[in-house]
Amino acid sequence: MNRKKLFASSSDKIVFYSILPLVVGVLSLFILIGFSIFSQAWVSFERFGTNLLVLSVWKPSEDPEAELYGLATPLIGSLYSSLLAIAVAVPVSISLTYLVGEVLPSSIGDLLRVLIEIMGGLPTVVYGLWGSLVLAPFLRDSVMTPLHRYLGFIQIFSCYPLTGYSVLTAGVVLATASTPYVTSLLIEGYQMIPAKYREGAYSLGATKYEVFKVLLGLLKPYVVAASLLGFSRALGETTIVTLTIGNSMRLPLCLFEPTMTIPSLIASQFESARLYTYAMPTLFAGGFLILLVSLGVSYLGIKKLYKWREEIRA
Amino acid sequence: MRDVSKGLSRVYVILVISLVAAAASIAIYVQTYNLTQSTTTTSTPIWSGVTLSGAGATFLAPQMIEWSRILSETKGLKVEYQSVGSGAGRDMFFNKVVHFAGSDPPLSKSLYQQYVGKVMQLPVVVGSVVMIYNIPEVPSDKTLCLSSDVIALIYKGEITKWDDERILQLNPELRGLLPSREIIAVHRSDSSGTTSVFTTYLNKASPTIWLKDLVGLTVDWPVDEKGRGVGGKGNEGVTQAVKTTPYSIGYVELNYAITQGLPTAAIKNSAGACVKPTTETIRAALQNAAPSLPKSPLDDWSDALLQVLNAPGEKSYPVVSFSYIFIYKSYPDKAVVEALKEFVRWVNTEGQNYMVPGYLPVPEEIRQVNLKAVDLLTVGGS
Repeated sequence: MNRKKLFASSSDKIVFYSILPLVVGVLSLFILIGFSIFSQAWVSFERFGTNLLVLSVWKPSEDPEAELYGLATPLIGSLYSSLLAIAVAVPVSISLTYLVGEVLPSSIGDLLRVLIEIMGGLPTVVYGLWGSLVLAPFLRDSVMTPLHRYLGFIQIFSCYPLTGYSVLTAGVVLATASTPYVTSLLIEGYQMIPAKYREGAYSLGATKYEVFKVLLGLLKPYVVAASLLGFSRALGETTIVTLTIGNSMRLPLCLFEPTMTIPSLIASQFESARLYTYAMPTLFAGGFLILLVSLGVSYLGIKKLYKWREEIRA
Repeated sequence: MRDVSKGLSRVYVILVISLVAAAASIAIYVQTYNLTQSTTTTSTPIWSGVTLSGAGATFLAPQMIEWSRILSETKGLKVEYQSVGSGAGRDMFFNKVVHFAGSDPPLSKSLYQQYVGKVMQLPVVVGSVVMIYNIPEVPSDKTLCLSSDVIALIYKGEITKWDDERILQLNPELRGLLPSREIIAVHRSDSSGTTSVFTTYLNKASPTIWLKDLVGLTVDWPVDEKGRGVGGKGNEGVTQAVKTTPYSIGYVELNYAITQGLPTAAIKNSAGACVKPTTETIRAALQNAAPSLPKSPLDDWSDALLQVLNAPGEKSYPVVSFSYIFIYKSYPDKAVVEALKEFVRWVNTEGQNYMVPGYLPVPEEIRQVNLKAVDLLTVGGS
């Protein structure tokens, strides 16, 4: 009805038209980035076809005929390390949400929230360096070696940990780096739950933990959404993973083995990729694939998030 | 009363601050005035105002930055170098985005054919790949000696323990000290000129053990399959991995081993002697290899690495390499040509006295070859 007239006043009109180019610009930039990555990658898709998804090789050569690339390991490595990160980060984030939301007095809770936000703002290279210099040797000596010694018969613990650079280490550092993001999302969602639920629960004589359990049940779709968003973030993380995953072109059947991800492959091979005919297109192909996965997961996450917000308000 | 004194002291503070500021600005003005005076009073060379731009190998970057600093201070010649990697540097050079490229590998045979007579290759820096190790049982005053066969077998995963008979034979005085522990072989995980030099050496010195398909900037390491190999990103990554992993071995550029203070292994050379990587042994290798190297910057340098690796001579350290700069034979701009002439001349004369630790100057014979480029440079379309 009142949409009939788009602008109530001329100043509304001026603001709209002055902002319009920015909005269009951002959108078209995004589409252009996607398109240019795809067009750069096309040569590689054309040349290697499905081999790109099935094989695990990085064999550059001065002779273009002899070049052979397959991205199976980095693709699986990306998914693997990000899943691991989320598997660690989500329980930690839920616990933090419980602390901030129910247990701690609001002054200390706020302080904790600020700390979490600051952690989220730290440059990722800080996490990466800490992971490679401190955490990797520590995990190797006090987690991986004992696990391997006593539970070595289980497939994922079966390999002997060498330097500590492994899927596990990368996953743990990634988890540390994505916990602040997931926690912020969860706390935000938790505080969005209308007071009547909490009051109702307390009036029935529920303990703090029981109240949290009830509210967490309500929050469940939101937790899934936050995990998806955190996963998509971890997927694209470059510095942390490159410094901690060991960058080896092998499928990691065991948690203590080094492997690589698409971003770490790009970071490792970019410098000399231009020496060969198909190396750069293949890196772009990897970038494009990871972009697709990340877009898909983010879309699902955001959709779930919005849906939940609408439902909880209703 | 108090108010007045407070107001007065505020006035003083402002006065002092403005005085200091004025003095500082005058000082800066005088300084820059003197600087511009001193550069303009010395005769203005044709290249003043030109900034030479280069891009390429990260290995060359520290040395290039040092050279460019000294050149701009003493001669007023500005040289910019972007550390983007050999591949990207070449790309920028062939697309004429930059005046020169820095590259660890020389042009391959096919690329050389493509640019023959147009591009000149000048080896300006000598690098060396060294083996670093972490064996707590070996005291720091004793040196481990390795042969190319042993190194190749370690990286193939066939020599698995430090007390392997083949290692003990090379190190009779370490018998009893070398433990029966598994060797962990650390290598570069990113593509790197260092890996290329290292694997080319293994292939040249032990061709039956280290086959041709295991040579290159990135290699599918056999030892990884055995679960005893691990990658590190960059020289710093390998250094870090070796430092934190007992019983490991790795290969890095000499400058890294020097700055990190890690023990380096001696390597058995073609004359059968165990040689530590030092300035003298690396220089000896180059001097012994020099007669078989190309005689002009316009020649094909693609085999030069093979000549300097495993060079003859009792004192030669076997794993030595060059890093190159590529320049065109002709540029359309006269000022650029003159600037490049000055740059090439200086780098191959005085510049060789200003080496960053871990980087070695090229031997006299090579400098003479490089200096030919000064006369070859011409103005014209390219």
